[in-house]
Amino acid sequence: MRYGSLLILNYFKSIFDSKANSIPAVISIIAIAISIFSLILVLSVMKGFDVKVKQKIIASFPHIIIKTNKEYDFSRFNEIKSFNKTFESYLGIILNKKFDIVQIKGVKDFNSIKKVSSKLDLNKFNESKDHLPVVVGRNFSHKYNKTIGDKFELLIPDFTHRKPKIKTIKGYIVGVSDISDVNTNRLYTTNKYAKDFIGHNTSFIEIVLTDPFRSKIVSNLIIKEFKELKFKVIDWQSVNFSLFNLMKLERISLAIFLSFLIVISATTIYSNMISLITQKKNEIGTLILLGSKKNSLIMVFTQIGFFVGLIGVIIGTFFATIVILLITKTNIINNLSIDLSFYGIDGFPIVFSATYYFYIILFSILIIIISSLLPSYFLLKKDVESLIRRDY
Amino acid sequence: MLLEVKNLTKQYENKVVLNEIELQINEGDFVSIIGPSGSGKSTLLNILSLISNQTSGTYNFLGESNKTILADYNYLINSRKKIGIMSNLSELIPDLSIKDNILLPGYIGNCLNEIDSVYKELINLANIVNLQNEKPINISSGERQRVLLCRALVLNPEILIADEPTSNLDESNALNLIEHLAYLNNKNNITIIIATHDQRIYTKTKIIYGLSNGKLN
Ligand SMILES: Nc1ncnc2c1ncn2[C@@H]1O[C@H](COP(=O)(O)OP(=O)(O)OP(=O)(O)O)[C@@H](O)[C@H]1O
Ligand SMILES: [Mg+2]
Repeated sequence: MRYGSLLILNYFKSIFDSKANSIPAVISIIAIAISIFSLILVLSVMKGFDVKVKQKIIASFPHIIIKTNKEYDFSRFNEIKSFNKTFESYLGIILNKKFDIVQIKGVKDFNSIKKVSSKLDLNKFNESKDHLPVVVGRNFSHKYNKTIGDKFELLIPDFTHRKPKIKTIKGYIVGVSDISDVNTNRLYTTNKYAKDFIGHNTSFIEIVLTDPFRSKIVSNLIIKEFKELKFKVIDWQSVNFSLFNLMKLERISLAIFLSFLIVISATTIYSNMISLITQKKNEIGTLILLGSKKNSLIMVFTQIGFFVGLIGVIIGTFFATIVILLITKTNIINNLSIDLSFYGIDGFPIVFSATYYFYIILFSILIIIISSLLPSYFLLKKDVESLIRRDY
Repeated sequence: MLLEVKNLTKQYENKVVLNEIELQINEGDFVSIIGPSGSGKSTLLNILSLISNQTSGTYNFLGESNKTILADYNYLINSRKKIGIMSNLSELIPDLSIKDNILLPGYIGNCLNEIDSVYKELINLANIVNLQNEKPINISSGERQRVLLCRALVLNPEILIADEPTSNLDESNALNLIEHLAYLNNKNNITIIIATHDQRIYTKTKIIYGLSNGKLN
């Protein structure tokens, strides 16, 4: 066996042989394991939350919105999955003799809703000249206890006169879709009916992309093609910019805060090493007298501290991985009946991120090396004479 | 001439421990340095063993100034290999067996194979063959002293410097040890320098120096 490994093994053993050394070492290991565990887990959950929120936004909202009343054909952009001209407006509604505010949203034709809501049944739809046909969501239908064929009154603010007036029109439900809409109080009608019944509205084009994360690039392509749309194109990432930034900021500040945990637990290694080296001072002096190089002794003690820390890192990483796998691969959160519906996201937000693992482990190993290196470095800077002298 | 000390002074702060000392040691000498406690014996031996530096004066180790040697770390390590150091401050590493403790200089210098025969000879001579696998905590102080001696000699040094080799030893053990040293000196022509205040011991050496009030005579 090489002498370095012989000594490392010897001192490593001596740490765990005596209670005076093993208890602080075990505390270091646990402290490091806990810090690594929480850092990995918290960041994975934060990242998971970020991913889920983005997924939710991507699924619920168009990826690019263009404010224009004109018609455009984007079919030549092959990154654009679909585009729809639409409008949105708010109206009053009287249902069951109660007043409420609803949003009305335009679609090209009712059949286009079928793409997202396969259960929508439009067979009974027959056109009426004095009633505005609308499709409502399942939740709306439940909330007001209304279904196909039911009629109601809509109140439309009319600003075309000097004194604003309220126009009353009649509407009826032609279909109930099963879209789980963000907005319960939303009615769909076609752009054409809307123009006939409600009048002029500012409309816009909603675009859905094959890869939502390329929304900025596609936006720029659109602007390049249609210069007049320069200030009218906005994509989902820009709309939610401050939210995403806030989540990122939150992640960074938590990461910094939890990194301090690692630093603090690594300092326990520092003090362990100080006490180990002070105990072994005379032995170290003897080793130097017998021909050991100071640098190789610094290496020996650095490696001992490093191994102690490494055990902590391995334990922490191991348990963090187990927990992440348990959550992502099994149904444990549901089985524990933890209710997450409040957050409006599906499933527990956690992701396995190799990048996080890499940086967290790299950072902690660096800190551990520094805190194992410094004690032996300071001690071995002293001259041999003082190393072999006994301090009684 | 192996070692040559000229006009050497060592002082700690204001306290002069060695005062303009002259000393010459030739190959094959068996020297004892005697003197009361606190007279500076260990201080002198530490300088001779290239552990510490003098305040002024010169010390030539095998013809080279110790200042030159101490300034060059690799040179220093190579020079120390020529000295076997045995002192009561030397430690045995508690978790290593007696065998590994004695072989430690071989582990460190990466020359275990070359010293194997020397090792066997030494443990026979020191009569510690049956202690090889013991841990240092389980051996007596006389045995410990012999183990330290074996370790000091395992690299076949030209010079053995021993600081109070017989402290903690009873009469028979002390006499055994000094006989052992005399044997090594006779047979292997190894140069030996010991510091002691044990009269039974120094009378057995060829040259005796007395150290008092910082002066050697
Ligand atoms: N590092 C030091 N700093 C200050 N004074 C020291 C130091 N080392 C030794 N001394 C002083 O130098 C003097 C000589 O010490 P030294 O250890 O050489 O004596 P010694 O002859 O070996 O004594 P003993 O027989 O008790 O071992 C003592 O008075 C001691 O206090
Ligand atoms: Mg002494």
